[in-house]
Amino acid sequence: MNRHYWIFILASLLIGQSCQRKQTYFAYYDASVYRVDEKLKKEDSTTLAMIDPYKMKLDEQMNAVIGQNAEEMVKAKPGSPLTNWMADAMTESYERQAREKLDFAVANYGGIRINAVAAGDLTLGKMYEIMPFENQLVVMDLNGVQVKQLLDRIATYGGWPVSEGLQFEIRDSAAINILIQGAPWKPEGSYRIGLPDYVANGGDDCDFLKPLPRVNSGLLIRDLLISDVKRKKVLTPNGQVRIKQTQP
Amino acid sequence: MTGRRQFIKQLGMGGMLLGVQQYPWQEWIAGADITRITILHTNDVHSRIEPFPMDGSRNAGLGGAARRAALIKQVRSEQEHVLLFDSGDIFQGTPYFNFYGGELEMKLMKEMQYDAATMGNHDFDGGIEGFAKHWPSGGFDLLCANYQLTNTPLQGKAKDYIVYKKGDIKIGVFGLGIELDGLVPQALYRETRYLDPIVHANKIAGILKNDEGCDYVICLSHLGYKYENSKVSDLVLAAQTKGIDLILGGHTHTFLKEPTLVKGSDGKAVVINQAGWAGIQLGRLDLHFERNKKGRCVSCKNLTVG
Repeated sequence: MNRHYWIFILASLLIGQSCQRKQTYFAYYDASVYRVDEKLKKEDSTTLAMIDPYKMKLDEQMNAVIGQNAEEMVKAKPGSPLTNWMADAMTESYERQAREKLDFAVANYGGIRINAVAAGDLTLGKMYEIMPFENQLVVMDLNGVQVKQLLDRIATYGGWPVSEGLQFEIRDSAAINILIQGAPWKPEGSYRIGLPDYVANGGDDCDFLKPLPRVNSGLLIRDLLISDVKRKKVLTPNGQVRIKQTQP
Repeated sequence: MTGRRQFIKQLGMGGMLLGVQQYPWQEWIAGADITRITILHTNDVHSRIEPFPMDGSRNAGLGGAARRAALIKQVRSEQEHVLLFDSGDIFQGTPYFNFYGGELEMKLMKEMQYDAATMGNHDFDGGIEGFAKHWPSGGFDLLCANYQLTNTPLQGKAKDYIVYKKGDIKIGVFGLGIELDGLVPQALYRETRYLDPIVHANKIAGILKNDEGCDYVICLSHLGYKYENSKVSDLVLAAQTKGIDLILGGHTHTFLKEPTLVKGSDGKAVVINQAGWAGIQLGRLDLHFERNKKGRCVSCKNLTVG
């Protein structure tokens, strides 16, 4: 009797518990963050072994010398030998490959990802350091008013890489005394310009360019720079002043 | 499952696990069991396979896939339930991508056992066909709820969402991408159509919570953390949707000291996190779930939105 009583109690306990369904609650979270730096002594050996063959082949190609740089070229605002070279190389390589003239080319200042290019060997890897992104050159026909809007934007940034065909002064964050292909800028003029798709698509506050018609050249800016180095074999810095800061 | 079947199953489990901590008697005495699920996440790794070169620049020596892999394997050895996610822009930024098209990035993600990722704008840089070519080597689920991929090489491959079951816990995960027009040439994204992320997030989160019975919903987002203008960001997404518990973000390369809490459209807290970029950081959230029959939660902590 006593034994049966306990079995009955136990059984009803079990059935009572199991008839009620479990519910799930999100209780709390702990957040932390790992900084992946040299303090983490361990490197995964499988991962290193997977990277190795890719790295060796890559290093070999990136160390290939494609030309020479005669003197150090620095990046500076409003303009410098490095910014001049970039915009000129974009223009000249494009004109040769597309067989059409541009009035000028511009690039955003942040489009050059290196502060200086040292004198000496120019490797393929250096070209990737200068321009790691896959931006392509876009060609746009702008009217004079649109050109002025772009140059004013460049003025507010304190100067961008511009090619030889363009000269102007910056006063109060506006472009003045603009010369295009040596002739004074005209509001009613029409100008064919080259620029990175990043800018044409509205990057660096150039939203006004976004709705305007353009032709994607399909030519990567880095490839235009590479073909310029290969063609010239030796780069000589061009310190021509194209953008001038003028005191009001 | 009926009460009776569950009863039998529990007895069976108890028999199997006799003497082990999960023995049901202990659980019943304590009144609750806690499941911990560890979420690890990266975003905007940008083909940063080796650490940044030691050239004196700001990030010199930081990152590196081999270190990250060691860290992830360490966590896996310590935790039973681990989920590893990436919020896009796996590609672009070092010559590894330019030369090999993303092949190595994907193989390394497989080695690290990523569970899922969403696509960033730069993941289209080798063309959508370039991503489709290498993605199968990655071994992870591709989640793009607001890209319509009909007539692209990713049609039928990317999913809107997926449900991971860890222990008794169901975690629903979906992905959101950024508007491609203006960021990526159309020649690269081809017929991919960007769909309203808010509308689709509400729809998918509802499916995950109500139809799939998920206990927790995670959104992998490449929308970006915050904008000065009205563009949809993770902050906007969190505020204008309901059903999302956690947003793991990307695109804006944001380093957060701790996750941000935002009130969702139903007043419930949404957690937002982002782990910088380039594999400089690995984010970690340990989610704790309580299961009991008490009809209330014992260990729950209220998430207060500041």
